[in-house]
Parts: sequence; structure tokens; C-alpha cells
Amino acid sequence: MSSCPKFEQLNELVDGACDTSVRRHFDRCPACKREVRRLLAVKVAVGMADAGVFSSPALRRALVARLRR
Amino acid sequence: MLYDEFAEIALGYLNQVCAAARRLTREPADADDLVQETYHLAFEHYGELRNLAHCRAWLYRILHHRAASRLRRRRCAPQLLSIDGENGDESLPPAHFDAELIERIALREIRSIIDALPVELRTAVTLCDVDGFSYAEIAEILECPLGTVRSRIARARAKLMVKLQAHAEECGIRRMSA
Repeated sequence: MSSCPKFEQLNELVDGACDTSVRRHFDRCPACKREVRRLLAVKVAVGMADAGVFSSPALRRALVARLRR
Repeated sequence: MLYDEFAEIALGYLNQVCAAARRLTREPADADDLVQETYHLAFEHYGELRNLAHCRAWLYRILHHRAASRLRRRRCAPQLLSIDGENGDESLPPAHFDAELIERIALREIRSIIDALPVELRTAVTLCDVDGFSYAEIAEILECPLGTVRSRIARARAKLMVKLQAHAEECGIRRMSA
């Protein structure tokens, strides 16, 4: 089996941005699968930790008023 | 492209743009100002947007551009960001990071750990993981090379692994099965 890809390449795999050779290696390598699981856990945590922020009604009103000008 | 059509789509992204502005400024009032400035510019220059499908990324690009300008003005410095160790080896993850511990850390703690990341890393990783932009879109929004985006996201996640593991150890958080 080819040598393991760099951390940065596995990181790209988590985001669906890696090349096919990395993907092929990943399919057969338990160590890389473990690393990708760790990266996925961090990715999910970042996505979930961001509290929903909603625009204030005043801001929306101001922008809509600007639109009508 | 019709102005009304553009305006309707652009306003549909208002909550997301507000959330991104809040992450950049950390101050609700500053974030609202930044969003107003972003939308005013977008309304004035909407004709420059060639494809309405790229509206969200275009709005984010304006937002980040304005945020950078504001920061430059405040710091009176030529550079927006001090990139510490951009090409260093700090993107190496910790060997003993236990992903299962993350589930046992409170979201607000995770949020404050993310907030403590250097701004360039935090911005890249949240554009990817929160807003769901591709690496290419992030490169366009931040006006930087694709390789820089790759490196920043990898470094952000490696740093988060280190901080989350340290936090879990400090707080005595253990696996359920341990």
C-alpha cells in the first residue's frame, strides 16, 4: 500500500476536495480512516457550535427601505 | 438581471451574512454596521454580479472586503492580518486526540475555543464548516490563493484538536465507556 497522505490531504478529503489517489489509499488504510474520523468530529463540532444569529428587524427594515429608494 | 430579483435573493441571505459579520466583529452593533455597508454596496453594484447563483459568495466577498478595510483603518497598518507561521509545521494534529470527547464538551465551550483561534484560521474554517463554501469559493471570498485556504483550514482543525483535547483533560472529561 502507498504511504499515508499528509494531514492536509486527509483534511481535504473530509471536505470532499481531495484527489482520487488519496481516496483510494483511504479506502484501504485503517490509520487514515481513524484520522479522518477525528477530523470529521472537529468539522461537525465547528458547524454545530455556531449559534444561530438572526438579523435584527430594524436592520432588515433599514435595508428594505434602502431598496425602495 | 433585474434589481428586484437580485434584492429578493440577497435579502434571503441576510441571516447568514449577519452571522458571518458577527463572527468577524464579535460585536452585534459593529456587525449590523458591517452588514448595512455590505448590502448598500451590493445594491449599488449588483450589475457586476454576472451569475445570480453566486450571489451568496459575492455578498460574503464584499463583507470580508469591508471588514478588512475597517480593520486596516483601525489599526492604521497596511496589512489586515498578521499571519503567524503561515507555512510552519503547526498544522500537525496531536497524536492522542480523542474525537469521542468532543461530544461531551458543552457547545458554548467549543464556541469559545473556536473564537480563540487566530482570525485568519477561524474565518477559513467557519466559511467551510458553518457556511458550507468550497475551498475555491473561500479563496475567492478571502481573495487569497487556494493553497492558503487549504493550509488555514488544516491548521485550524489541528489547533482545535489540540485545544479541545487540552480542555477535556483540564475539565476531567472522560469517555462514557472508560
